[in-house]
Amino acid sequence: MNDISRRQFLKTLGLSLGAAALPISFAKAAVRPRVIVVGGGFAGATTAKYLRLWSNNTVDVTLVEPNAVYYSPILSNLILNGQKQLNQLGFKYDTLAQKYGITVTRSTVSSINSASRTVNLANGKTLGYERLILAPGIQFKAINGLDSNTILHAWQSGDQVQRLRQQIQMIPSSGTYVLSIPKAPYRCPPGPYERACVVADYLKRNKPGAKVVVLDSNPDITVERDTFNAAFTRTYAGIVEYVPNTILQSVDSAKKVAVTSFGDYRADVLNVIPPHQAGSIVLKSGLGNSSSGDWANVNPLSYESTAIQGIHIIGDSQGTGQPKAGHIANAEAKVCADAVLRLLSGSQPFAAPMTNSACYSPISSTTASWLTAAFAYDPASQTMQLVPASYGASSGASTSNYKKMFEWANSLFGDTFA
Amino acid sequence: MKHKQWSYLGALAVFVSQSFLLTANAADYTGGQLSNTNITAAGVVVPDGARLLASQCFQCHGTNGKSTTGIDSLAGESQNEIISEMREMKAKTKVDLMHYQAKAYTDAQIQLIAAYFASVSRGNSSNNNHDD
Repeated sequence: MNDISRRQFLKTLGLSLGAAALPISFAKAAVRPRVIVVGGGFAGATTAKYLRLWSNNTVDVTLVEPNAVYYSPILSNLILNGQKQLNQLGFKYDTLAQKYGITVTRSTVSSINSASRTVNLANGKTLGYERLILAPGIQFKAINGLDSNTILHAWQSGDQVQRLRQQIQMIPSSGTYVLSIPKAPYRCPPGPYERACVVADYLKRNKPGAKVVVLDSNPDITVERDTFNAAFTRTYAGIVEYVPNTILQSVDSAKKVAVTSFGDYRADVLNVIPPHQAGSIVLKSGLGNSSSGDWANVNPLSYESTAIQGIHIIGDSQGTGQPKAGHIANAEAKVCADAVLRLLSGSQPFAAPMTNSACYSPISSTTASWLTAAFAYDPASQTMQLVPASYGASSGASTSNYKKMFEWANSLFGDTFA
Repeated sequence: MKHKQWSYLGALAVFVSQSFLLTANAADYTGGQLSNTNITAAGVVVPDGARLLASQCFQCHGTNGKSTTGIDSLAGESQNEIISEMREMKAKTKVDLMHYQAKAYTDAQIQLIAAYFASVSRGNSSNNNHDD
């Protein structure tokens, strides 16, 4: 980085040249800082955007993402009861590329060399970085007998949700839809219960006598218990059967049978959401250092890995204990982007970050509920902690919340992709 | 947020509040790097962390507080206006999403967030990324 661009970079970050006491890590570098962001979901897209916006374009940002279009899991359950089309939930990366000057590379990272600070892409290219940000989302753990191509998860939106919609439309009257929910932590805590509700909504209106069976690996409804319990026992009384503490042991994919700790459940449509772990690039790069080995431990001030310097992990793959969901992934992304820009200038991350989670859940084709929480950095434990007074949910579902759900989602989509 | 007269004072409020915040509230930030500052989209300098804290509102209120939906914009609101609204929401026992969110923030944090939004112009030039 030459003197002029360095001055501009520091000025943009609000750091004056007078602050000479700060070590400037790029004083002697000949190039602008390069940041690579891997994964273009809510976490990755937001970080890429804010790295450019907040550096006034003085940092080069490359977003590595294999897909041309990102299909939002948020609102995707509404495809199942016919209230949304998949193409309404698709986002291209053109705006991020054109408006913010992000280099979008359609590929995947096959390996990381943290010593030379380079990544190798599946397309054969090698890219160098000063900071690497991984936002690959989740991958699913194997379940004996499960063929996820026929027994769908539909938990990463896209084609699987479309196909699950088609399967549900084919359910015979008095048929059965069986949903298996993995143990927490999984992506989008209210999501599976929301799905049970909207499928019940569709069956109630279109398939008289058809049933929804919810096999929950968890001991109880994990969030919004009052709302979902009311939906299961009143709104969808006689349609939804909720079975807690039901661990999926194996699947007969051909016969659509879920073998569980409570016996076998035969389905017309079996929908298995397998247990999750961090995206494969995180685990195969030695970054999955949580106690379970499934997630990446990070410093929540910067989301930098506690295993390898210079690599940050945000969104569903990180192991801070914050929920795994799009809204808070966007929140983490901003903390990470701000910290990365400070670190690139030789400064320290902001010491008191906050994040928040908010989500609306459709309960039917006209009603929705919401859940919210905020998290604050606790210096004593060096963790993000729930602020108890901020944790709350709507009292049941309402039509006004259904309208607000789309305002919330569209705002979040805009702050992330536009 | 209808007290228009405050918006004219927004920019002034930032400079006044900035020095106040840097001194009076320093103790509220455990180890906070208060020597740092952030520049907003409008080019106004705000105290350290203000932009990052305020950005947690962008998910619903739009990038830089400029809403693109039916949710309120926050850009260009006066600092006092935002502070009083947040305090009002913190005190509410009625069940609304923002009432819970407001309860997460200390008065010092609310002042920083409000200073940021007061410093952002209301106009559509939300991006500071084409002017360099």
